[in-house]
Amino acid sequence: MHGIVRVQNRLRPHLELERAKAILYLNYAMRAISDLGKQLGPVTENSEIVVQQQLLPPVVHDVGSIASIFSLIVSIYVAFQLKSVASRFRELVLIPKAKTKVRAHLKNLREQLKTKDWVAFKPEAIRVFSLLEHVRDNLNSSLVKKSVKACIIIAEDAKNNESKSFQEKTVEDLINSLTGIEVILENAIEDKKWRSKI
Amino acid sequence: MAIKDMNDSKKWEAFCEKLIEMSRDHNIAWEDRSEHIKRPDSISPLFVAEYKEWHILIYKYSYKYFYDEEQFDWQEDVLIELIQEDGKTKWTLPKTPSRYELLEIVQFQNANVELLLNDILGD
Repeated sequence: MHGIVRVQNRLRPHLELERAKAILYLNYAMRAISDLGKQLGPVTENSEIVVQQQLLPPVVHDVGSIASIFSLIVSIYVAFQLKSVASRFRELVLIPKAKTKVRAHLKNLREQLKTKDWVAFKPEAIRVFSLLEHVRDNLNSSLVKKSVKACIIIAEDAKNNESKSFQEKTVEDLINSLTGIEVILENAIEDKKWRSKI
Repeated sequence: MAIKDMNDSKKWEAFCEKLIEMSRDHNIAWEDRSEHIKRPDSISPLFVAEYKEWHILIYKYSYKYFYDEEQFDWQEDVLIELIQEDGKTKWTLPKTPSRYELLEIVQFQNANVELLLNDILGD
């Protein structure tokens, strides 16, 4: 728990910056939507025709149309920026959390390997599998995704293993693979390039 | 036993059940060797049984189960080991469901509970 807090404290300035950016983009978006609303006027039976006329790009008849098209472009741009900020914000929160979870699983797996507790290993593999799936689905880094995918295959094999005989190799493979992910996640936090993108 | 079977939980479960049967029938004697053998994480006496040239050790120990890097619960489990005479581990047995029952019987016998019962109840 203290580990997460420590890492999150380190990342706090970046999180604050991302939040400020998100608020700024939201303000842009609100203004752009409000401008577009003013251009379109009240909703009537002809609103659809008006919107279609406003959005027709090739033939621009007046200044109002140019303004509304401009507003639309700004809205789209802002939407993309918001998505990107949200995704980076999510990564900033998820990476330290995932790293501490991976470390916890590693400690448990090492204990299970030491005491040959194959019964406890299976539920642990299931927990590792769900954590890695969550990481894979929510992180953009291709390096993290690639190594997580390889580890998911090992965890899935262990999860689906119905045989009575467990080889220590399965546990060792999972530990080695998770250790690699731990290093990659640690690097992702420390990576200056990744930070400079913020 | 082929080496591929060393983690076959079915075989080790049968082994444990046989030890339970032998202990119940007093065909194997368990002795508290806590004074000579040390296991830092143990929370019960360390019981050793000698069977031919083998020394079998059973004890309860505690360990940390981690939910997060620094967030954990203390949990208890039972471990069976084959040891050398000086107490060093030769081989740790894979965990089997009947290990708890084996320790229960060993502790019951070692505490002379049967004698106490007979003494109190006057049988």
